[in-house]
Amino acid sequence: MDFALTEEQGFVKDTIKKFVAKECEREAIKKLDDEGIFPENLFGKVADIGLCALTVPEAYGGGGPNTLGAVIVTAELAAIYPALAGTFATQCLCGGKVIADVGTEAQKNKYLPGVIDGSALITLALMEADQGYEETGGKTTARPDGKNLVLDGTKTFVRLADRAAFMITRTAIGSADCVPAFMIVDMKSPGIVVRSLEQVGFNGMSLCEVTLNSVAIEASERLGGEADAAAERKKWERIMSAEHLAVAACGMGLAQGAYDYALNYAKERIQFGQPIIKFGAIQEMLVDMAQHARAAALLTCQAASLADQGKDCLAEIIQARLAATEAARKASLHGVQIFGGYGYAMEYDAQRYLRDAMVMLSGGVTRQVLSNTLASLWGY
Amino acid sequence: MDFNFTDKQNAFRDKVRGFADANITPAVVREIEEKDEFPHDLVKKFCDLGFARVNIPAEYGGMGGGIFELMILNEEIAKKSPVLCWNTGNILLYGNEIIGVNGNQEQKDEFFPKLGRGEIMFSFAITEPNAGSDAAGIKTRAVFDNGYYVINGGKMFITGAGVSRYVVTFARTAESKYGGITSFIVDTTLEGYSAKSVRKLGFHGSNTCEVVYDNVRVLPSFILGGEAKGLNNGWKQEMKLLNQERLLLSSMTLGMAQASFDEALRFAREKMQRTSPSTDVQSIKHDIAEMASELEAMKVLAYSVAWKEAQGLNPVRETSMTKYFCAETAKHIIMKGMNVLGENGASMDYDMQRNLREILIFSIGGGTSQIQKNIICKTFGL
Repeated sequence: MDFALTEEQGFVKDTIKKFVAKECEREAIKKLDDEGIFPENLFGKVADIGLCALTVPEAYGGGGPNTLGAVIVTAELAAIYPALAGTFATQCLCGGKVIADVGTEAQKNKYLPGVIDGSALITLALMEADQGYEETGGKTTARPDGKNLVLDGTKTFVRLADRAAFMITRTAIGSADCVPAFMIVDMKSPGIVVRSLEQVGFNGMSLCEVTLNSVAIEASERLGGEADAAAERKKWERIMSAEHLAVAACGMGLAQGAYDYALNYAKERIQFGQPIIKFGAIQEMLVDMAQHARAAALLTCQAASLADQGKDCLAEIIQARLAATEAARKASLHGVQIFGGYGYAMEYDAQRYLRDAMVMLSGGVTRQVLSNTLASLWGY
Repeated sequence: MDFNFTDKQNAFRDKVRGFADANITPAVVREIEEKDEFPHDLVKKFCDLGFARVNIPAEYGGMGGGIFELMILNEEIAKKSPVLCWNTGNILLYGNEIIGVNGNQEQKDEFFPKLGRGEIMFSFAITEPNAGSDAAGIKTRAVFDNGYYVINGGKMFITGAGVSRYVVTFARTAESKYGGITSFIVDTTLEGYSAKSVRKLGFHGSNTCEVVYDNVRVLPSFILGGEAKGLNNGWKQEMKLLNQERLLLSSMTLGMAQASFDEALRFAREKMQRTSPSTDVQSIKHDIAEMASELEAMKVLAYSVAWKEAQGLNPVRETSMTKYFCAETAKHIIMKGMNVLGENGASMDYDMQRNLREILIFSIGGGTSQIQKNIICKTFGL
């Protein structure tokens, strides 16, 4: 169970902590959040100091694979600014890691440089608006047409689709009930329509619906090349691992951030002649927050460490996600309660942690879907 | 034992529903949410139908309704627009109830007719930046000077304070923590009064304000209940209103939890139709079952305590139980609804996210859940 940070990971942690202290200023973040502005400048700086390269193997110019490092960066950012963390995770833990894990040699050479310098955002498009209580929708198709594949369907809850250069999406080859396959789609392709969806939180980091109207891509853009059903299933597990780990890392960080923020307030706020942190009921909430944040961090970091060791760890990652979203839920709800009336005021960040946690909780899957996936992985 | 509403109460509920269905459309709700401005038009429609008179005594031309009518009204309206409950609370609760319970004859004669026609509204100002849960720790001060009480200080989170004609203001008139507080009916047109709306997580359109009193001069006759009875008696007057306020707040949570349950049920039904028969959805179904059970418990508790209140049994303990239980349980229900809605839980296209944002204040305002638990314990001698 030991997963002490390597020297490299310790350095990453130090770097991101310094970055947050220097660049992530609460008032500036509040303004971006209020106006729903994408943190372009901050994200550019994160890429400039090389952090997007963490999941890219050295052979492709990166510093990885260092999944745990990327989780730490995501969590530290999420502690103060979940929308920036989500953007980083989309690029590094999702797009970058998926290409690095399952892409062909040509795909790695083509896409990973843009991941490293942050110039080409790669997002995942896995859900469909009319899907059932299942982990994905299955109506998007890829029809072979000469050297090309032609994609039709609608994907939803795609992070940053309005800014992404590419998206990795799930399709069925031929008709909807055939073998699933994954495609890398250039977002500038003709036939793509992106519509932004209004959410209660993660302001600035868009969630979008993407419609594919006979979008032609080259057959070489099939992620990882042609493969049989079993191999595609493996790819799917790697993609889900990336997605769930990104959410877990954001949740772990948000929980810690909301805890620290409330802790600080509870020490300063005086009622009945003493700081409210002296009241048992407040202490109990803070203890609950701290305990869940720590459990989430341990599960998430351990799962990332397993990923770095090349082990199959989808189940561990899903457990981490469940713990982390629960920690984020508790921390943000208790946070608002500890702040009392001020928890409700836009002037403070307690409400922002809560709104962001709401997006993360809904985050694409129900507990039931995650439970079903675990049940199937464990052969129940 | 009889758990039925009377025919009259059922007819009243139908009337409120009719008003809500006709006037509180999704477009109206959305507009209030986005503009974050007090919905004067909607409140006017409410008053035009006579609802502002629901709890004014019959001898003043009112309907003479009590706690049941108020709860039914708030429950129904909260299903569609919780903020309208607050808006109309500026008449029903902070106007009619405060004047009815604590006002003197002169004040009743003066204010009831205008309140009943919706011509004036009242706000209620006790909370201060540094006096929240510790409400009696207020610092706002009123000093007698040359025939007037001169009020100085600041209040926080005062709902409707920028649109109400009067703000019932708690101010310190003596040093005794509980026995040195007086409530003044402050005319907001007086010099030195100012209110600024606070931006907040939910209840957009409530005009909840930060209020400043800068040498506001109030005549002694504007002390709630009159100077003789009201001076230094504000805390006791407030105690008489708490049951009403807490039960009303609880009735709003009933409406919000019901609306959230309805939305979740509708959504789950549709989504299950698109779900493969081989996919297990028992856990979603059980979320729905739990939501329904918890909602039923809320309703039974809240209305049974209302019955005790209506019987004059002064159910302080049970009222705190209701306030705490309903606020927290409605929160659980809505959190489950978020899960049922999956990826749409945080979408602005659904009411679930608004109901979650808005339900949180019920664990805070009107005495936090922690304060309610303290009160319950006190009644057990703990």
